[in-house]
Amino acid sequence: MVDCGHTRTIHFKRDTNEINLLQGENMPIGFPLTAPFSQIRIPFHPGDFFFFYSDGLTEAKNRAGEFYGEDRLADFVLKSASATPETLIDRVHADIVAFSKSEAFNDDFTCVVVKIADLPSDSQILAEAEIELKSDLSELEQARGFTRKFCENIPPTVLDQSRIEQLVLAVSEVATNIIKHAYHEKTGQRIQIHAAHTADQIVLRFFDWGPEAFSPEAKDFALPDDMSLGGRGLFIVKNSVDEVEFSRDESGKNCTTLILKLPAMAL
Amino acid sequence: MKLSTENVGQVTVVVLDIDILDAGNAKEFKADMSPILEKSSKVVFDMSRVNFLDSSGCGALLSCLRQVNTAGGDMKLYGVTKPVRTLFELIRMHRIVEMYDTKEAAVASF
Repeated sequence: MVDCGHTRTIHFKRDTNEINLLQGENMPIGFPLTAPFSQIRIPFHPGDFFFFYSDGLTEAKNRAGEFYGEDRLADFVLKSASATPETLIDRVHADIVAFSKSEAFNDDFTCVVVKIADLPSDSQILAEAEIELKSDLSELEQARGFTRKFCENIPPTVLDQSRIEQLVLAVSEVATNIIKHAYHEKTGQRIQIHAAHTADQIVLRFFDWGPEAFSPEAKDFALPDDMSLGGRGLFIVKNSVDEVEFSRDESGKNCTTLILKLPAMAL
Repeated sequence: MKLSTENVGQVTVVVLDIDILDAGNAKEFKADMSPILEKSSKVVFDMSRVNFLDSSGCGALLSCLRQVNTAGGDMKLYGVTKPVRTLFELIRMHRIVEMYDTKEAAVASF
């Protein structure tokens, strides 16, 4: 968060049912900039929300000239914390209108509520790991070792040795393809592998910065003729994991995604 | 590359003393095997030390098969380990190359 002399953002924390007021350190935008803006980092969790607002809310006055104020706003937001963001905004607005006995405000009434969604339990990431390799065929064992080590996080009743070896083979084939075809065997190029697993699947993403997108056709995934010396890589990948996807983003980064589904854990 | 050979009658047994045969060393394997295959076209490969094989490794084995076939001979495998067997089943290698459990059985099949 980079705060430039703004009102203090209200952070509602669901796990403790508390409000924190987030204070930044920077001068308002437009003041002479003498140093880079400092950032603060705030952890948050599903069910939390952030209530951003302009000072038009807290500076609304009642007939007696009192300000609505930050304390009253924070208390009210806490009391209404279980409402949806839209309802929360409506209720805050109604409360300030009631307080000031006016629907017209002297200043702008702007507020934004950002609520952090709950993930369905199966989508929660249980472990993640990353490795960066150089495009060198003699380094393929690094990719395989990384995969085997990552799979150690998963109980053998869910993922047995033989499935691990199938995944390792797929990883090896994808890395080989990237080196041979994306980078045309040029050494020293970057390959990033990101592994994550949830309760029901392992997702491996390979990133490369080769000059072209990789868009294989259905025939490229077929098993070639018996005596063919090559061309089995994609067939092996497709039959070793549950899903394979290839994409390229606007910045020229290719992404190869492998998904291996995990059986439901017996309770 | 560690490839030791032994002659059993007319058949040459080649022990692949390598843990991994992949895209990184497949070329070296083919280069090292070539002179061995020029001397004998009845070959048996001991695969018991090979724990990882990928599609490039398969291609290298098939290129050996092609070389001996051209000379009127054959190449067979024995002692294939579990992960390699899984791959061979997937790509139907058993339709292409004969495989045995023991050296004796492989040699006797010629």
